[in-house]
Amino acid sequence: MSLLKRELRLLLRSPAEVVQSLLFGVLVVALFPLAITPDPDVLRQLSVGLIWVVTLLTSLLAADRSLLSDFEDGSLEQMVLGVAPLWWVCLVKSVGHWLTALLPLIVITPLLGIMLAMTSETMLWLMASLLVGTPVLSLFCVLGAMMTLGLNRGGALLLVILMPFLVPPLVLGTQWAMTVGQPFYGYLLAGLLCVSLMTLPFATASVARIAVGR
Amino acid sequence: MFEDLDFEVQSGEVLQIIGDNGVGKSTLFRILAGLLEDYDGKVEIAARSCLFLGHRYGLNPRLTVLENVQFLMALQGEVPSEDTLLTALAKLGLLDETQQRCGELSEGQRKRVALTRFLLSNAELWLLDEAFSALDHHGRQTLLTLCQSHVDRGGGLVFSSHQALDPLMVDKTLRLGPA
Amino acid sequence: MWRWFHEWGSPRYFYARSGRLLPYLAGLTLLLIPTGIVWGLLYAPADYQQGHSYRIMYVHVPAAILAQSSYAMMAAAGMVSLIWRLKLADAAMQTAAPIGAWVTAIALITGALWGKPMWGTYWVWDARLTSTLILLFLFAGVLALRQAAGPSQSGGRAAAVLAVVGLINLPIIKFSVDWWFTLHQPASFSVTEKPAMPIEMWAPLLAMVIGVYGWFFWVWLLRLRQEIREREVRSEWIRQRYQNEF
Repeated sequence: MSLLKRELRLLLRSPAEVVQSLLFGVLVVALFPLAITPDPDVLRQLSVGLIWVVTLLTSLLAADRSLLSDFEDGSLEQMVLGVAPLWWVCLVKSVGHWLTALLPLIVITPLLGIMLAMTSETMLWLMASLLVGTPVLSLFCVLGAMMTLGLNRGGALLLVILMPFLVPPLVLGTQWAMTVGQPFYGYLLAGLLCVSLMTLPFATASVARIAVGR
Repeated sequence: MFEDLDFEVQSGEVLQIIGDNGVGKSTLFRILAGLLEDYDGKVEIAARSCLFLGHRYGLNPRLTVLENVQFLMALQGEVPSEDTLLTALAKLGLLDETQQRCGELSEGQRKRVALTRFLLSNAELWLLDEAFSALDHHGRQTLLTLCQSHVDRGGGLVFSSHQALDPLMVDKTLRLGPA
Repeated sequence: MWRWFHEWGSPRYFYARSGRLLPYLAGLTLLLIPTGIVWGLLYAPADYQQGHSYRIMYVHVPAAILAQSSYAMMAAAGMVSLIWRLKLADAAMQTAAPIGAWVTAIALITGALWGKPMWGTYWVWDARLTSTLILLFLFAGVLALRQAAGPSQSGGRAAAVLAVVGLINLPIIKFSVDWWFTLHQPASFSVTEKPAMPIEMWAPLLAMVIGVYGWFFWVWLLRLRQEIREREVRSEWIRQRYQNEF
């Protein structure tokens, strides 16, 4: 529980990180009409996928922020040595990542949707798909960050390692939003979330011991 | 990295590990603490609980002294009252700094914050890598007193230091060096 | 049964006994692959729809099948090395990875080459090619992590965890890609029901598949033995065996 408190405290004390993720998202989305076309019909077709990809990139960028800081100041090794179950530590880290990097983006999705000429119905389902799908992204990003902690060029390595795993939530999320809520994809996405919640923290925990030994 | 290491520390005993920089003292400490598993051989810890302090103190720079100590204590499963915490911090000369963020403190102050949980906890075995680094004379005295009372209560202590310390009752010495 | 497992888990035992397999694997490979290639490329009948260009299937299909199973074998070796902490399993995983990656690359390239006469372009985002591409990324991830994390035991464990997570995700990834594709299938892709292949066509394919598997195990075993030699360079038994070479 104190792990969660600490994570929230750190989150509240670094609004700069939240703003960084938000700005990145908005700026990248703004680039696309400039790069492709201002035609709202074309933008509308691309909008769901674009916002999902931008969310994915934001997630990757922020992946190792909190872990790296804990690794460097030595609190990660104390957490490994502590009595709290390591899978819980990893889960809390994922929650922290989601709250800092992804939730702000979800909140600002209506704005992004307007920039890309999205219909409000699609926007609703997009937000739903992001709400269910982004936690999966966080869980994988923390796993990847833990694997690359302390290694040279960890950032590039992170992308190479994580890319295949981010495809299912990406595909399922975009499909759910683009078919305007067809429950099939919704169930699959929710199922993916449940399975990820139950397995990934444990995988991350086993990698944590390796990371701390570096 | 090492070969043929064989040593034992009983309760109430103090082991000092000596060696030049780079010979592997910190690696040995990390193995003892359970952070490194890449070795052949056995490490048996009969103590019920163990505290480790390495080169990095485990203090988040954006949290205050009090918050950091609370967190580190919680990691050991202990939740002392705020009064207990403040008393301990006072003994280490940190009463004025409890609400300051650890990022703003000097290294010596941070070392003393990290040592606070040693004062508060009942762990049987202490592992202190570079125990006396970053401490001024007053800090060193405080740490010596801390260690002495720990050993008197029957706890075991393994530490490393560059400085020879006559006042501390060292029972055994382990010297690491080239073969 | 466990005794058998632990016996084979020792590098020394494994090295001594596995050498006997090598000639059989070499024979199998050298017999079947040329047979399959010559037969498939020259003697099998031309396809009703695709003419002669379909012949690249004789390389592509075995490669694609092997690509996936080699990932599974690599991840299985990784799992063994994680659960039972066998260094031999770790060596097996490390040596299988590059081979599997190359096989996947070949499957991808031959798949693209096959696509040119069929669809007119070298690359199309169809379900199979996309899945194979993602498989290549999975291999790349394991290889990159292993290289960055170093040859130590902990580096091997990190890569093993990645491989196992990858294996568990592989069906999920394949399903998602399949659904993605069927939803967006453009009109130009008509999935026609292929008529049953006559035996003259699939017999060389079978020969190729078995031959390619034989080749894989042959090369894997060779590399694994090499890896054992390198890792156990300091052990007595290696020195005794190769006294002449040192």
